[in-house]
Amino acid sequence: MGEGVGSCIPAIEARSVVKSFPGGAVALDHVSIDIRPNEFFTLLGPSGCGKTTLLRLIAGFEQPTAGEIYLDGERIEHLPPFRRPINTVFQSYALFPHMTVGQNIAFGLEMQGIAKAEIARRVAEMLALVKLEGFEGRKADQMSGGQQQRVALARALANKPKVLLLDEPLSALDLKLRKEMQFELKRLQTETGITFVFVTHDQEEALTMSDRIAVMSAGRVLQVGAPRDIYENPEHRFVADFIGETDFLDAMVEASDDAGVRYRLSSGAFIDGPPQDFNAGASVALSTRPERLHLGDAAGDGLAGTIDAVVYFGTDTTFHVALDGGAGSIRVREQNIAGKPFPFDRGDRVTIQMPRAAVRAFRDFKG
Amino acid sequence: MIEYFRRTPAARRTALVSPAVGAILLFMVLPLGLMLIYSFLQRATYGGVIWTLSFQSYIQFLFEHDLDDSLIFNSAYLQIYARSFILAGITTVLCVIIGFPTALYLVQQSERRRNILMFLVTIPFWTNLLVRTYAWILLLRREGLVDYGLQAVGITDAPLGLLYTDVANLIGLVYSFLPFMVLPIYSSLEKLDFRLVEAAYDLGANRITALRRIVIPLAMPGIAAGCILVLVPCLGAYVTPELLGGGKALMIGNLIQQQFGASQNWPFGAALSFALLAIVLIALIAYSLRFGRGALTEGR
Repeated sequence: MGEGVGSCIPAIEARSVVKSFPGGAVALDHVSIDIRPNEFFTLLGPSGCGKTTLLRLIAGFEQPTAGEIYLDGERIEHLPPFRRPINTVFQSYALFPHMTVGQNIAFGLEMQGIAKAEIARRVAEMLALVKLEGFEGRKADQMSGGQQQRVALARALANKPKVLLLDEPLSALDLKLRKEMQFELKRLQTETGITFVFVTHDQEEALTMSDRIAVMSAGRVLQVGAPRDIYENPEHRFVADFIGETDFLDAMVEASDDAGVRYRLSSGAFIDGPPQDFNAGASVALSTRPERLHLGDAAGDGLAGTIDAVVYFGTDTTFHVALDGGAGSIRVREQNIAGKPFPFDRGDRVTIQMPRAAVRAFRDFKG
Repeated sequence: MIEYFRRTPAARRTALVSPAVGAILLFMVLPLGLMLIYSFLQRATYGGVIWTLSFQSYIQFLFEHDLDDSLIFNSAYLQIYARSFILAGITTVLCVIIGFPTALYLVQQSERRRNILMFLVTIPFWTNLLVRTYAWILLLRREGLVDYGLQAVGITDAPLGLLYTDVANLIGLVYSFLPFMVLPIYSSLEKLDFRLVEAAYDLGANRITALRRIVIPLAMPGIAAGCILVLVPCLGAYVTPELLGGGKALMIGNLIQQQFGASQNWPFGAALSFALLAIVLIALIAYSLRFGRGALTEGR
């Protein structure tokens, strides 16, 4: 008993949750997920995929049309937000403008009826946690975006919620501050041991911060897994496309066996990939990641093409290569090495070296 | 000439505000100044004034002459002021109680519905107050529609005869000033970010607490503006107390009207007006001192 069994109960469980809005728009289409205790869990997807709706259902701002939501094994979807031990960091921070920072943080504690002295102690503790000591008497509009973000975090954490929901909390910050806060959020999550459910459309943010990611599209959860898992083994074309950089080529399965699959491009060129469950003759979308490919000179082995464009990124350079025979266009990224310019330029004939492991095919339908 | 205005911002500003300043000078400052002067003159027997300096009007406000011509304190006029303030105060409170939920309801509607409902709120402005007040006479008079309705549903079993009472007066005042409460509260609630209410729920506040701690404090500028817009004109209300109060329950407006009309005591009427103006100004200054500079103009 004890720990082993306890950790089997998800912190949050959604069971075939449906949310449709008046007018017929379906925001969530039978979504089921388990969020483990003490996990940094990210809902990732483009805008309109339903990730924020799912968050609002967990928070209690909206009721599911169908399905169940559990918190530590107890159904909560009928409870109003103020009866759920869950707190939210809003995208707009939603700090109370007529209150000071201290009053904002104290608000939730006051609602719980905690004694004044204890509230003061907890507020000070929260301010220290988010490194805002001495800002207690400030009003929200006297603070920078990053500071407001910290206050919102402190306010939401003050109640020691079982689950903290974060609705794109970093999207309003500039790049440098965002990096800082990503690190900060991760630290807070580790320190407090609270389950974080983080909503973002930024795949990089999701990859760097999360223990696990759920990729959502059009109201459905397509894949749930650790960042590496999602990046390296996308199960859907959409996931491959949304996470990282990916190029797709139309292809037919020429032959498929336990050793691997051979694909034929529209130009007639062949590409070999690792084993996948396809029948010969199936039409598929081949995906490649630019950083897994390499350029060779025209005489080399691999797919032949012509460099269309060269884009310099500082750490690396991306070459856009138009494949011969109109088979499509793919990108190849090469690392820049100081003092050693790359020997290729626009218009050069090249070959692309494609390791078998870098090839992944999807059944040819969108999504 | 035009070139001059284009180049000099100060001159351009002056040129732009001068029509407004001119209108205020001509239609407000000038008549008020005239009234101020009148209040310090002697009355002429059949209306008008005699151009002799006199403080008689202000003395008359607080004192009356005894038989032996000594001054004794007379609270009759102060009582009329007091009852005006009480009626205006009750009206303001009732307007807040009715107007705030109305405004809160309005802002939560869809844009289309909201526009229609806002139009309905402003519809009374399309017709004359006098006409609308006469309509209330028909409703409130003995065995009028209100009596009839109350008896029909069995709430009362005899006519109430509300007309020409303070209750009728209050009903009329609340009716005519309610839009002035709804509109400013509406505009401050419209600016309110309802995600703040969600945040309050999220932190454990129920509906009542969220209303008390978040919505009302943030709507306070609108509520305060509404209170001023209702209280101040209500103090000087004339038509409603005249028609619905039957002129029996005098308010300041009726008293002033009497002085310029039946009593033909223009200086006293002017003095009464200035006493009211002074009280209102003191109240507004006190308010803006309490709520900070710009409280009245910026609505903060």
